[in-house]
Amino acid sequence: MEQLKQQLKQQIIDALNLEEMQPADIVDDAPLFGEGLGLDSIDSLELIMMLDKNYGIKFSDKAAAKQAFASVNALAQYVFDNRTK
Amino acid sequence: MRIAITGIGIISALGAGQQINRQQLLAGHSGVGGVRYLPTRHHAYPIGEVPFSNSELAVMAGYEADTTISRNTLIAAVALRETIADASIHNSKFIIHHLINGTTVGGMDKTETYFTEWKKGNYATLHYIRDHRAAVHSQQLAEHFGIEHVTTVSTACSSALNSIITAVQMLRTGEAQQVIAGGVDAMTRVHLNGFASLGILSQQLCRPFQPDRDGINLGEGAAYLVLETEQSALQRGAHIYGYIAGYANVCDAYHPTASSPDGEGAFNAMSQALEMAQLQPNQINYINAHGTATPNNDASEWTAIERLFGKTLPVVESTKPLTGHTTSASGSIEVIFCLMKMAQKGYHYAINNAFGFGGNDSSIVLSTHPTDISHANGASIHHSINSHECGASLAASAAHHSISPMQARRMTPMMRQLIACAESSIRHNSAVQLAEGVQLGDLSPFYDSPDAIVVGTQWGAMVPSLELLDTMLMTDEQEMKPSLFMMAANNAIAGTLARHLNCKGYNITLMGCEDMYEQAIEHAKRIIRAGDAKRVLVCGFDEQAPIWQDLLTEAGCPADNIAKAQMICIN
Repeated sequence: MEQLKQQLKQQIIDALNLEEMQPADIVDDAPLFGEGLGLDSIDSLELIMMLDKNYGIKFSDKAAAKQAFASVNALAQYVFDNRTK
Repeated sequence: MRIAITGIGIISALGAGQQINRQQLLAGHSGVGGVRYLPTRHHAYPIGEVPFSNSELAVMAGYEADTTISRNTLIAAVALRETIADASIHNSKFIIHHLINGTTVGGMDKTETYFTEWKKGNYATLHYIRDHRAAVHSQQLAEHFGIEHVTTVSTACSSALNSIITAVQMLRTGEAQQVIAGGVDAMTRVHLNGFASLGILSQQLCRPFQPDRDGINLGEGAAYLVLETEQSALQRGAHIYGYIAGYANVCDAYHPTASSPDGEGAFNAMSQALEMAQLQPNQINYINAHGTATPNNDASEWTAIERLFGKTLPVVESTKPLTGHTTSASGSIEVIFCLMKMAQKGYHYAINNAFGFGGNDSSIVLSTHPTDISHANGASIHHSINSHECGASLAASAAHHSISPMQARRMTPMMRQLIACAESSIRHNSAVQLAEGVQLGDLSPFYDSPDAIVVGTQWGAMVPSLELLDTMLMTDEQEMKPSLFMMAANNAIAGTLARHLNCKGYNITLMGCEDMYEQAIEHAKRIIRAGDAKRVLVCGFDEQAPIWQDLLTEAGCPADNIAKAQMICIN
């Protein structure tokens, strides 16, 4: 799980072009959207594309995506439970 | 001073010409349906295509049927031909000297057709690469109709309305007596895929302002208007459709694509246009809203309308379900729809809204009877100083001091360089003015902010544009990054500057050729003379993109990396 978290952090940095950030800059339990990292709706579209490409994840509805994007911890758990590749 | 509308021409999904558009508009018939002409794999999204093939359009516009001119130019030419004939300009001693053309597509419809061949080294069609520039497309139109001067406005979905506003500024400042202005966009795969990647296209007929609305239907079309001083119109006995009573061009400065939840940009655009028209909100009978049917736009626009008009709302409607969202043409198509509705219903005053990505929000107030527009104050120009020629070296290091990593994620190196240039110009200008004893207004945090931003460019944001075009073609329309689409709009940089500097005033992007920066400077002076701004930040940019640069060199028109900025201020 720890390895998956690190991998996801690097993939978030790459997908969103956060070129000056390191995986260590993203806190495991901090919110990705709003007050935490400060991502917006366009970033969530980018993350949905990234998760589809790397893990074969297709979100059934917006609520599921919202839950998965709560933090890196939540995302890692979601990917672990739902990945198809 | 009075600005009269004396000629109109229109082509949309409803058909070609005033007559069919009026008939279908008033009957409420929709032209939106399945894809017929665009070579796309995405057939799930209904679109409002102009119901003619390129060869049919060519004949209608006075070209040979087998012409290879782009669909964008052909659609525009059909509407321009009607507009000029309608204004009877060729039957009078007046000749139209100025065309203001709004477009975002420019030459993209040709580029997306041929780019794969070019990449493979097949250069038989490489001459089309020069036409990628929106300004070249406008020049082709001007040449076809014998019009001497041409200006190209590219503020995404508010382009046509900002073209009309530019024309009114030219009349108010005495720069011209008659101007033809409007906009065009043909459907392209790039913007169909781009809007789809943002998740804002509906798979049904769009439902503006309805609780169950779920997105846009895109469309294509063109519309132009002849605008002239009432004096000129009366002298030559022209038919007057109506008057422009007020206008406003502002920036929401909130997000690259989304509107602010409180609709600040929409509210400022409508209220400032009403103020210029010296009208009270309760005098407005009709609003042709931007109303794209995305959850975000309609909520934001409705909030602004309720805030401005209170409980006694005028008739508010969006005609997007009839034509689809015709992007850069929507402003002029819908101004004509306003005039048609006003004539039918006996409305005195109407507002048309057009809002674009980048936060470019514009409104126009129309009147059916003679209405004065306030005189331009004829302000003199104080300074044109501190032109920072940052040139070809894009050492981004200098540009990072005020840009956070989160902001930088949506900026190319050139964009960062341009922001650094702009900030440097603003600081320098403030220092010079302070030294001269000029009382400055808002000095927070370290400079006197501009109240307007004018950006000129030749090629637009080529780095993101090309990356998304290449990916779209390589993956057969399976993949497009939404953030790249957002950054690829010609006006994305002006919107980024507005957010960075918190400049919520006038905001425009002009497309030129080698003269793009000079055109931007001229426009800055024009808006100061028109009384629309006092402190204008002028920027010019172009960026070299991989592959594209080699192709341009092969075609004999290489582009430079350019980032320049200066402040132009009122005395």
